Amino acid sequence: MRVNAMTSRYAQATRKAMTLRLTAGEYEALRDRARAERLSMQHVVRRALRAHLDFISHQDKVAEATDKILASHAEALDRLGNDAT
Amino acid sequence: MTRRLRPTLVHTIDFEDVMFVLRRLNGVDPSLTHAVRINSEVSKVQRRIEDISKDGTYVSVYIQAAMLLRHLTHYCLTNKSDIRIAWLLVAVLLEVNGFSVSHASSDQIYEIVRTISTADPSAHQIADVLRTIAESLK
Repeated sequence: MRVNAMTSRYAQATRKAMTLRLTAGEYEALRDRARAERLSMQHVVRRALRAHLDFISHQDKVAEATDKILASHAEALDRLGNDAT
Repeated sequence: MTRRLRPTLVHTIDFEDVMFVLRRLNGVDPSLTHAVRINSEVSKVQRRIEDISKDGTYVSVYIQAAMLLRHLTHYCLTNKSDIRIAWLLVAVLLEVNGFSVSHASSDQIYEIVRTISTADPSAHQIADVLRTIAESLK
């Protein structure tokens, strides 16, 4: 418990503040979502940001892995492709 | 409290990934129908793995990859579909989860897929081969 409290205080102390400018439509959508889930708008924004960054990171990994396999197993893939024709 | 001591798959393959991999493999946008069908087959295996895992049975990363490779290879053969996607998706799945197989020789990869399509080894037998490849780097 003590460790958790210390971690939480550390997280609070190391948080960075920034101004987020939204269109009226985006603001209303964010406010409505936060109200519907009984969360703060900040919480909803941070959750969306984390989800987006995870998504992009996953896409990057898939792209990198695909290119790596296509290059290293090009010959095997060619042979498998030729077998089918 | 539950503790996860064994390696598991953090990243799974979704529709966007299937579209991407097909596009990279063929150099053109894949047909939506083909991508949906391949993704549907991937999802079937992922659901089966979830079902097996529900009662606490541990399904190793290699067994999961082997189940997917076996299923996709047979799907491609049955439906006269491009069999290359079977290996490519499984290799990408292993790579993005930190289990590298890219160092395997092309002969090894060709033999694995041909053996699955002709001799139909079990998922455990395929998993052993995948494990040997991935762990030969360590």
